[in-house]
Amino acid sequence: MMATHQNRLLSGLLLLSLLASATVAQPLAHARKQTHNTAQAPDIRKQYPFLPPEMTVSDPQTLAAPPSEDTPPAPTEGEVISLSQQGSQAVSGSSSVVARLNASLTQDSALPDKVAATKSFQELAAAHMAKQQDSKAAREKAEALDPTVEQDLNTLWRETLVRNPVVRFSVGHLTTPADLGPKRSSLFVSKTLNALIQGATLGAMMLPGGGVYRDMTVATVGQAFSNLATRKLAPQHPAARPLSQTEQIQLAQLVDGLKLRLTESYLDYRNSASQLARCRSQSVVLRQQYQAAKEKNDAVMAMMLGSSYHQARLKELEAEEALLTSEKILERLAGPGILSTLAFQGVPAAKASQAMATKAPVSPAASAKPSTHPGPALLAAPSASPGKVTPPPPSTKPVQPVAPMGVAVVQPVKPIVQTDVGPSITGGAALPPSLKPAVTTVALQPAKALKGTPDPRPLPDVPAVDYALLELPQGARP
Amino acid sequence: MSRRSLLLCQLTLIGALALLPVSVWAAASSPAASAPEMTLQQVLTQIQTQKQDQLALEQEALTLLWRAAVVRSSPIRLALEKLSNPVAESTPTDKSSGAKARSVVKQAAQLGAVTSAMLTGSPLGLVTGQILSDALTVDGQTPARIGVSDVDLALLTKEVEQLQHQLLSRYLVYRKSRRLAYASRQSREAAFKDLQAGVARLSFQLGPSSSKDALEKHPLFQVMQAQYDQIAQLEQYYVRQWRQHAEALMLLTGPEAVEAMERQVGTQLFENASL
Repeated sequence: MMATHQNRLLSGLLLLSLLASATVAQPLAHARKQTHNTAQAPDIRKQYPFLPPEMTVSDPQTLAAPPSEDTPPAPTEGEVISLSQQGSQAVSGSSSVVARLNASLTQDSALPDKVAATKSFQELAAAHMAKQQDSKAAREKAEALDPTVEQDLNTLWRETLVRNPVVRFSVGHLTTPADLGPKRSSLFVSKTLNALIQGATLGAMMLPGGGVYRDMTVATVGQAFSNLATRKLAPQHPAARPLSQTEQIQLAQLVDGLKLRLTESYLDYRNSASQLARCRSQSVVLRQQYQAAKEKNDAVMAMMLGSSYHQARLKELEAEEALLTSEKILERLAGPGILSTLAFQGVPAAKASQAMATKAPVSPAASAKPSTHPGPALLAAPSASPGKVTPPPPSTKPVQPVAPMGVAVVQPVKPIVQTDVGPSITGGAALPPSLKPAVTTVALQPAKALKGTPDPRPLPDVPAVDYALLELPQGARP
Repeated sequence: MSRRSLLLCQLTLIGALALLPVSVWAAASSPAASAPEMTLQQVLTQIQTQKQDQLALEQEALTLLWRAAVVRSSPIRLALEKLSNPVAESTPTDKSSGAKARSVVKQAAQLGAVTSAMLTGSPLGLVTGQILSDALTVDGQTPARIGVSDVDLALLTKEVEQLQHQLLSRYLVYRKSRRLAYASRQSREAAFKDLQAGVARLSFQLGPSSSKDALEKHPLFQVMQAQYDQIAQLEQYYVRQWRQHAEALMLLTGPEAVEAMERQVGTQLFENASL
């Protein structure tokens, strides 16, 4: 019973809505015709410049929205009013309410609304322009970086061509013009020439008044000429044989492969050099913090900092190996000397030295070094001797070696991982390796007896563990 | 297979027992708190110094590997056989040609004379030098270059170059994984010591009356354990990589050459990464 009632109600509602739409559609179509006749578009555009161009004036909401009372009388005002009235009357009461609401809203805040709209439009346009300019600047910046790559690749390839005999050989064979290469004549021309010579020989032999000797002479000379024409007597050395198509393809593949390898390893070299610089400076800082935490006998903090230091160190080793790999491949192709003269090292190094000149004192020897051609100068520069075993100076006052570019004042750092790394807190008793030492076995040494002296230098960057946050009892704090 | 795994175990033991060298590669530490921006030139200079120290050792290692690889390489064997006997196709039943080719291939290890150029340059003295003709001369009497044209030489040199590139890149990958495996092991051991110290300190802070359970449930303990686990996982990863790349290198040179290289120069060459 209830279901049938609902069905009836629904069908009635459907019928009603159909009727309403039919009554609405007619005056709307009428209004559309009239607006097309009267051409309302420019006026509306003058009022609302932010309207998108595809929006037509026949939109009933747009037509109902403009307040016809407070705006100065336009030539088409009456028609607009009549249109809106017609629309609002024809449509149900709710839409007339909407029209009135719209009118009141625009009446109250007509000017600020318009101004805000235009302002936001202008702002949008300005932002768009700025964005475009930014992207243009970025593109220009990226394009400004490109010449280094191209220059370096040109240098490397030129050096490869000079150094590498096989590449030189292949390129020479591939680029030799036809007249400098091995001679090859057309079969048709040689046969024609041969036939002409033989015909002339026969004709000469058939001339009257000759003897046997003359005929023999003519035949011999003709044979010699035809041999010359067909190049039968040319030396047939296998080494002088011209390249076949397959061999040319092979040589071209060889050259292309070498070129590709050169390009790839150059880009790898560049990337991994900058990455290594980043990783190394990061791990240096982490190592300092780790050491400082150890010197402060903050074992918990030292463990955490130490693990992040170890991870950074492994990352750095990875970058170092990537650099060494690409460097080795480049050296095999283009020679070891050329790498230090590549152009890409000069630009960021000069920038960095300029930037760091204000922070760190630059030694005169380092500043006297030309940064554009660092090759032999850098090799001879007194570096911090990274690879060599340098025993720590016996004197108490540490000698400060000078960094090659004077970027940072370096101090010799004693290696962290030593045999005395172990926890002296346990009083020499080794903990069981199960990572879960029994609490009772830990000897409660007083903090004064701990090994190591505290660092007098303030360390703002090492964050102390806030034990209160971690809900540790206050009395247990050392 | 068992032999390889035995070798790898040996290598692992060597890595574990080796002493940590005292070399310090990164002596730079500034008192400034912020990260000092290392320039590319600094880094490259450090790398150069590091490389100069290891150049002789690397040459030794690569000579060992190359001697093994060039004899095992089938394209080079084929090329040498063909070039040493250009008429072998016409007389396939000739017994002397096979013996001659075999003796030529035995001498192919002479191509290893170019290993010094393998690190610093290209192997291509082959074309201009006498290396190939020496290798192709069987009994010191027959000049071998009769049938060998420039193009043959260039193509053979291409094969040699490709083999050297392959060997070098596999060696470099092996070296990377080997060094990282060693360094990660060192890191793990250091982190274990740190973990012991940290746990001891934590239990000291908790007081003697606190239970073992309270220590294990402490957030600092858990954080430390998680950090240690990360390092241990890294070590496992790098050791796995090392084994994989050792297998790849052994495919090219045979396990004996890798074993010999590890025995002779492995410790000095791969275990100098200080922490």
